[in-house]
Amino acid sequence: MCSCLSRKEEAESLGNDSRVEVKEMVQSLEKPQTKLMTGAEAVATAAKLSRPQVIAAYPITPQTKIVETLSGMVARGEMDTEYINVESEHSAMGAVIGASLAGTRTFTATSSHGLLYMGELVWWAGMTRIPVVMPVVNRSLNPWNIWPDHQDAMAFRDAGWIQFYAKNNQEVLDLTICAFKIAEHHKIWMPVMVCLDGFILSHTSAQVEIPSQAIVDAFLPPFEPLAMLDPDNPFAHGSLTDSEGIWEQRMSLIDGFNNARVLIPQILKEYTDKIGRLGDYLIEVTGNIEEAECAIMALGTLGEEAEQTVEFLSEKNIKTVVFRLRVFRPFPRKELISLIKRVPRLLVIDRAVSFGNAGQLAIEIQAELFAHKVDVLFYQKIMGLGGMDVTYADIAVEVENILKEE
Amino acid sequence: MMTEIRIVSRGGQGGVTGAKMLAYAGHLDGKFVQAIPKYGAERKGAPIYADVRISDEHVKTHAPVITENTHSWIVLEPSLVQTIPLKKLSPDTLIIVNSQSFPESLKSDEKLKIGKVDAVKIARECGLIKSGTEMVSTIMLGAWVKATSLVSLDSLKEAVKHQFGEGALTDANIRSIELAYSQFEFKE
Repeated sequence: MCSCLSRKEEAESLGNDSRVEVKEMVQSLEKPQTKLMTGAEAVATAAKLSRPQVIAAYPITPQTKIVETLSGMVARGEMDTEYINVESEHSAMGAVIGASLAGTRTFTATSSHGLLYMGELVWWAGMTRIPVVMPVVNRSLNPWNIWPDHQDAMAFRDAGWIQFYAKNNQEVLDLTICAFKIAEHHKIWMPVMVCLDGFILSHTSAQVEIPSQAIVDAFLPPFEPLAMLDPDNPFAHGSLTDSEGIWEQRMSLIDGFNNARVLIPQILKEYTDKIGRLGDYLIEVTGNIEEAECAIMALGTLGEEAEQTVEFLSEKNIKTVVFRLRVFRPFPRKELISLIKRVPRLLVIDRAVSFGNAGQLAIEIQAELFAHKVDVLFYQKIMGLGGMDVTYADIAVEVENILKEE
Repeated sequence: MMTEIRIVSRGGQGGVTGAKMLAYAGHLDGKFVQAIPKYGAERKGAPIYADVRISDEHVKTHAPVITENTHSWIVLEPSLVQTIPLKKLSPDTLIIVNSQSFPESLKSDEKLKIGKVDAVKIARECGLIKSGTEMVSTIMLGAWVKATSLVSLDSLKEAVKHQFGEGALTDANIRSIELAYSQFEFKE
């Protein structure tokens, strides 16, 4: 039951005592509050709680309510943040790269074609390890449209960014706060994308428990630069080095991802211990893995949709389990293989395509299955491109077809 | 238990905002809720819909409501009844229409629960007109609460306050909800 009810009941049980109001105010500073908000508003709330010092954003479609909400917060004086209203997404990323190198915590947000237009500098931030946090509201790419799928973020899976995919508005908020701590960890020090499905999360209202500022401050200390540009001690960052310099940089990025693979669960655990809910896993498992006839693997909201499929199919006495990848970069190979080894069949659902081959998730999982000689019946399905609806019943049909085929 | 509701409207009538307010009312009642707008590049007057889920448990599904499972259809403009796939609806599905009289296509129906309220008349009476369009969504929510009692009337009024803040607009909306609550009628 949501906590608003218990607060209401608590207030009623205390009657009309004038102390109630004061007590409510004190509690609101310390206790989490449950609010109804869209995924975009959840991102903005998380960003506000994380105290970025510089936000740069371009406000026109396909931009979302994320930056509109944040600009309102800055304008009302609720955030101590330099908000730069730039003239394009390319400039937005340029501005946060500069601000980050000048020693500040940075944030921007984008979506679909905006991410493409930002593209060159997305790679710049990835390859030169700029610890910026950027939610991407996942939408289909060209021709211009606004419908949800994962094609935009998948186009940047190789760009040197950590990528999270959230399943609901609560996870959007929790992961966005964690993203700052992960990006800024000195052994990781790289940019983080928090991906949330367009409309399905960004525009849909649902309940979100919001931690207090004090508790977020205790989890996320102020930005501590690893290196920063300083006129008194000049150095260049990333410009026109020789081949050895680029090679060294690429190797350091690979090391950074290896560190991230180890450190992300630790940071998620710290968040869970201090703030709650989230859990420290890279892959969420829902259902009984030992009994499952088929495992369903998906990213983002399709993962939570598949959780409903597990319940739906159990009523028909079909046993399934969901492996939802919460993080796609770094790719959680080890965890994945240890899970897949325990099921007889695997259905991988992609909401994007590497045209000329298959869904990106399916391609990468097949590579791991081959490398580890895992004996599993492998199935793949592309669903929900361009915002086509995918219900738990649609996923159930796919599972039933697999079981019927044999 | 989970209740799934579809609000059918034309762009500009307040259907999407109505979905948010209904979800907020459920939230105040301690339920788990979702308000899902299905809209693209929005156009005034174009048919659109928004879905609401009100549940006793956390809602895992993110897809739009499945027609066969829909508990209620709230129709903000009578001509939009023709967009409802009537044959697919489960018995006793509720359809509430903003209309002076029960629409012809529903008159002979015996499978569904049909209700109506003249929301246009109430909107005019309460001064709820924006850019020449009667704002009927809160009125229809008042009718829905009367028909189902699935959220409390007090919570719906609180949701209106939350949406529009204190002031004349909220007062007019609350009055319109009360009128809808008393004027709503089921087809015999």
